[in-house]
Amino acid sequence: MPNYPRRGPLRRPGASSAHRLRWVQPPAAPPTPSKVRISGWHEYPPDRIACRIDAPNGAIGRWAEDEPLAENVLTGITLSDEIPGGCKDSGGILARDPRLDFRDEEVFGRVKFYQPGVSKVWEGYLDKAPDVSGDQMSISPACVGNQKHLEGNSAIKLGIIDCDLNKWVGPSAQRRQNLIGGNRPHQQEAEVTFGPVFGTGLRFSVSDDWVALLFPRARLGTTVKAYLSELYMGTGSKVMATLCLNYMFVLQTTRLQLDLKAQEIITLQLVGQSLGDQPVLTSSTHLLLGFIREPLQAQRATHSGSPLTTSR
Amino acid sequence: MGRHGLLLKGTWPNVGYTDKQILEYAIPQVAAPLEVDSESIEDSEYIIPQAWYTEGTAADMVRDVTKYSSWMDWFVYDGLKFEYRKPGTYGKFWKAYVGDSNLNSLGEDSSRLWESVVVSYTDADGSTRTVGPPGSGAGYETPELKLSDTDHPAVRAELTRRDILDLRGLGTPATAITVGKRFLEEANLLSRSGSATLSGYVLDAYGVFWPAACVKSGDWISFVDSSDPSYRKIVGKNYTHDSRAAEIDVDAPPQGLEALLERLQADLIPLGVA
Repeated sequence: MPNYPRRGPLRRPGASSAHRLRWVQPPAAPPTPSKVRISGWHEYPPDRIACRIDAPNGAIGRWAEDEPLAENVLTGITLSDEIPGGCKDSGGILARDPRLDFRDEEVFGRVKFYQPGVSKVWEGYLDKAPDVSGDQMSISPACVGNQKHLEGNSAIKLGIIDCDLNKWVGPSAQRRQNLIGGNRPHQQEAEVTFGPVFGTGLRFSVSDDWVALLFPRARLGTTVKAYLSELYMGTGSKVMATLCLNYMFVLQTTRLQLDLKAQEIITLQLVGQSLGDQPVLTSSTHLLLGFIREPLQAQRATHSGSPLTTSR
Repeated sequence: MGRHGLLLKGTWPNVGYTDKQILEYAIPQVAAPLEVDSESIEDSEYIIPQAWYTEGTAADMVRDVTKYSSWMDWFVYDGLKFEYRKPGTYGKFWKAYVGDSNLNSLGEDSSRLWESVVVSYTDADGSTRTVGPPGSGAGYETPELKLSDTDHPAVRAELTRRDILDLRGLGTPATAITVGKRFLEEANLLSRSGSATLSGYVLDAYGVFWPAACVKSGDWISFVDSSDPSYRKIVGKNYTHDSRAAEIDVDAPPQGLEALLERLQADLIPLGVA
């Protein structure tokens, strides 16, 4: 490193009388000339790094190489980051007695590394504060970036959109039990079939008695919105198709474009939402049938009637 | 569809949600305390047809959602704010010299120069399908999966340099083509990858000195006296304060191919050189 003063803010010569004096008498060892041609010489900006930690217990600590207390002097600082991801990890060594408790050493404390001028260079939280034994007592706090919060839950459940037909399965044990209680004679597996219908399209159908209990009997006059929210909150992802079924029925009874909408399962939901105040006109079990990824034009050209068929 | 109330995008049957929609909704749900706001998430406008997660972490979900637009960057730099941005719209631009920074470029490697790719994926009905360039024998052929740039060594040598990219999970022809194109573009960038060490101070684009610790991944750096002085993206940084040195990876990390495949959530099945 160059042997000249490096601490303090960047100053230009001529800014004050003190600096003019120093400019007239430069230090014995001038800095290595920069490859950028600038007349005169300038101090490099300071490059000290300080760490602030906000522990979950409310304690606030400052660890830095210029701290007056030896226990707060942080050496061997390392910082890393990556793209994609952002701040990755950081570490250092604190000359602390591992036998003592320090309030600012709590795991999950928020950590920020600053440059002079409070320019933040790294941010994350304290992950580990292991003890280190050796010729001197010290600890090595290890921090991880806030991107690590993405890995906090290793069993997320998030459903946005699913077009995987293989996830359709038969009724659960509980549903079969309910079927027995509901005095339903048929207990067989739901039938799930795939196959090309009109060349490039796929046909998907599920039918059996297990579908029946997915639909609580609706009272005459119940609105679609109230009926569907009850279904929605009470069952799992399979209900999505049953929602479509209900919309189909409503659409059928209200004489809308059934042949167009019956194959657009997702669109059906949107259309159905606008029909939320229409009364449910049925209380019986319906067909569960959807056309997935079937080109509309092919469907229209080769299938003149309603795409709905009943399994019961 | 899940119970999220997001507005469906696209035209049937190519419907789905954009990455901006999904990330804005999902991050607060599954990755608290991370936050998002509308300004911190940019939209690649690519419509994602399949996003259903019943296991794994939020990081897995983010990688899966962003694989179709892997040229976009996601990161958490500013507090707890999750950001998803186009490269070059954030960060700083730096300048350095080849000698001072010990620039090591990986250089070209024939095993990493693909002129075309066949993408295999699992269709919604469970069958395995393929898309590929014309003449590849794939189920669906498109010229989008073949490079025509005559500066590319394999194109110039008129060699077939092709592997199979196997997408994990469900796909459609559109998503397979998108991922295949991203693979061709980014895999051929690996030749520009390299590493450098910035010691002490580094110059920004305006000639101002900054401590090397201020350099961040996602910034861009130009080695002004190299044969290629164009700006390169910094994708990784390790800073050691004792030596005031920041070791950076540019354009792609040394283990770039593995990282790229991880980002695309795909596996590469080699076919060899023909």
